Amino acid sequence: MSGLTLFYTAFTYIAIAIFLYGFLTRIWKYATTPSPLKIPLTPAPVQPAGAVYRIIQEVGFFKSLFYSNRIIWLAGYLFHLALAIVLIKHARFFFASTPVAFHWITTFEIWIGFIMLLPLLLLFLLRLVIDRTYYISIMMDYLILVLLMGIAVTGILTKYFVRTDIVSVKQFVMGLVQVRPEALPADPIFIIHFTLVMLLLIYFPFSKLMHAGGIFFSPTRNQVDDPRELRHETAWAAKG
Amino acid sequence: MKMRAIIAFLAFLIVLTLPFLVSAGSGNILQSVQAPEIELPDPELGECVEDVSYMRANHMVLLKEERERAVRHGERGDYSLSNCFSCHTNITTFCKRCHDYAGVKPGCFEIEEGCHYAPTSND
Amino acid sequence: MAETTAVKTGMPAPPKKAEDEIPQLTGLIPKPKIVRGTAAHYKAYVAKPEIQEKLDFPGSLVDNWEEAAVRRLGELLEKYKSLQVYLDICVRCGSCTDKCHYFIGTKDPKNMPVARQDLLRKVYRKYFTLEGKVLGSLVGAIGFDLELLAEWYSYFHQCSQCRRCSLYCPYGIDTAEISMAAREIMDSIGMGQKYTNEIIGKVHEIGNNLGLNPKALANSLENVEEEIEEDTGAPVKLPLDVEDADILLVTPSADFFALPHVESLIGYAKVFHQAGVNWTLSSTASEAGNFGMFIGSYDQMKKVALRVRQAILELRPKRLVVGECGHAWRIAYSFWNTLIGPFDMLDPKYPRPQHICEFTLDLINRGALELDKSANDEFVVTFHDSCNVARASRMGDRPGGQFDIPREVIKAVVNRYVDMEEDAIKERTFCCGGGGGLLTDELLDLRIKGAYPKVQALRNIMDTHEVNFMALICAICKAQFTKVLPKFNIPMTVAGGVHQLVGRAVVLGAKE
Repeated sequence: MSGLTLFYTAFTYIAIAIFLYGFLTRIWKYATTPSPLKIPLTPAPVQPAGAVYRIIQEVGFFKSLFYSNRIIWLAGYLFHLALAIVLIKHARFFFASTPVAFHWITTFEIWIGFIMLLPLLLLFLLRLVIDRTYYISIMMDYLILVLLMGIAVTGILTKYFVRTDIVSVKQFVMGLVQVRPEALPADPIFIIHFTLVMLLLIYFPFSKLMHAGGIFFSPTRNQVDDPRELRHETAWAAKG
Repeated sequence: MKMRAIIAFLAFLIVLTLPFLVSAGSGNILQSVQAPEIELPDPELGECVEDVSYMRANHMVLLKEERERAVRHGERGDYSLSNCFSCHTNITTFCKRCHDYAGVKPGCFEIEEGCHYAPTSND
Repeated sequence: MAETTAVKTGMPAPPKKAEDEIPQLTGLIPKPKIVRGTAAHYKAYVAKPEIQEKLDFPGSLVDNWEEAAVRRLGELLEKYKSLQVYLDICVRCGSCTDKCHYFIGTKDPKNMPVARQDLLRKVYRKYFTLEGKVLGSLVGAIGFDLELLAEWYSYFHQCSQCRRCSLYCPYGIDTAEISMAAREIMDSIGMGQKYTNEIIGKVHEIGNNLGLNPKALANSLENVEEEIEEDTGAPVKLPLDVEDADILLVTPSADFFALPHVESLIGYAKVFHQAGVNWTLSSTASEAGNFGMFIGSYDQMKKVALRVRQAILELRPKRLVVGECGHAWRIAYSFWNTLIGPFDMLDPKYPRPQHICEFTLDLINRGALELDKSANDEFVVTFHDSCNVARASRMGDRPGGQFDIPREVIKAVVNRYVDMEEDAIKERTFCCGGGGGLLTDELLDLRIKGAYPKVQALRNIMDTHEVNFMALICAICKAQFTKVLPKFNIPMTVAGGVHQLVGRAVVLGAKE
């Protein structure tokens, strides 16, 4: 086994460990930090099922953003939708037998990588062009977009232009999944793609990317509007 | 309160891992790590049209370009499917093994998907 | 609310700076280009030591204030899910940037909700996140210094906690929660705001925001009774501290004194009188408002609210009704049950607490009030949804009841009613510009800017539909609009209460 394979095997496990530990501890923090008061943004659902539906609308359709800013919604929604489809398509590398959703999605030949890349470009441009978003953007906002664009570009290259041998990629990934390391494919574009994804995973839990999990824990969106009917109590507040 | 937090956390985990759980439930997640062995043609038939590593990544491009040339312009060259079949005679033991492994549908053989009939094996 | 706008009318003072010019009403609510620093000079007065100490806050800026502030932020992060989640997950998409009335009015980019939040996030990143510790300014992590503290003080007192930004945020990030936390941190290091903290102290000492002692309150109520009797000849009473009444009314103290607030008080009294219910006010709970919320202090908010519980225990009413006040209704509806509940001693057949509009509409629907709409024929009426009622509470049993119920009450007492443009009403309503503890004279220039989007919407409906009355259900809105409307050449009499209209339409003595 080559040194590079050894390095990447270790690197991947470390990256995934950091991601999982960081992500889950963050989520655990969100779940366990108390909400002493009822603060749903009204009009809010009066039943728990309604609150679940509200969250589904936000996560599934970015409803609030849709009513706020159509351009950002379009760019953001297309990107996330494409990302979801790309992730599902990547299931071919993780599963010996691929999941149902995978076959359903791969039936259509859509150039999904581009549908992921173009909104990223648009989001990048919007940050620069609109004076308000230019003002609020910090360096990392651009760097994250660059990182994601890098992942998209290298992904597109391996799929359409500098094609990689996906059988050896799958063998490498399955080796990682089953903890029996296999050789790293000797394809520079693939290695760059893979490295960028690992960097993204490492940075994820420490960054604004935690919106992916945090949105489920937003009190203004997930609380039920029933404070008169049900007394809302929290441990620390009850003491005070 | 702690209880509700734990439930929320678990519910979130389940939603997050749902595709994996479904997959683990429906198929064997831990089968066949290794890329499949494929039956290679008789070495006496000579070299392939391009080298092996190139063919592994790009054979579909050649096939598609060749098909365009053949169907639209009536030109047939070295990269034609029938030329492939002259050495690689068995879809099941050559093409399908890798295609199944990677979850990629071959675009050549299925009547409803592509435009070619599968070659008949002559062994 | 503390200011008696009725006595303070006069010519508008000339602008102190070029930025302080009154915004032009052009017919459209704009999305302005940013102009840096235009609102940096708006500073609420800092509370003096004697004000601070009454609330157990340090009198002035403590020596190790950076450390103390960071420590307090750490404590708040453990206590408030909203703060923890919202500081983490903002992606700076820009969705909220053009939604704040103070930004639209001042054009100052630090009044964009996300920029306001980032003032706190800079400190959070620096001291509480790994990315901030490792990557520093690359991820916008900035150490807490006096310059940043000055920005905190200025811009966290330019947020009226109206939650309009939260409505448009894809994650529901609520700047109100952030600004409450920032103010709580500033209080804990001795940088309190004079206006709110002085008023909270007054509530603890005397019982209400205006500082009316029980005797003055009784006098004031007598005067109102006399006024009603002079006007109508009917012996409408405003009972104080009556035990075992059917209804305890808790209403903002401005209703006892200020104009046009007192007109609504007269309206409530006439409604109760005609309904034939035995009701009372309380000198213990002579204030529905609760500025503890504005400074984010759970303890102060609870202490103020406990006066209501005490009044219930003293007077043993069967029902609890709350007068016209926006933030007070948020606290009553959303927080009272948590802070001072459970309300087992009150009649479970009725909402605990109930809004005066819910109460009045119920009577109207049951035909218990005879109403003469023509009494309001001089008015074409529109309704301003108060931010705290619209986005932080409910009336009735359906979501959105807070929009329908006041409108139904108004439509039952006036002949001509018309709504303002969609983008400025209901859940999308603009704040009056005076909420959240900003209703103080030194911030008047800011308040004019903050009122501007709503005033624009009002101007439009005045021009197109000859509206001449904007009905309000909030003491702060009433004080704010009567003060700022004249700056836009709109008569202050355009602003008035919902129950002001009800009071005019109630036919006294017609039913028992």
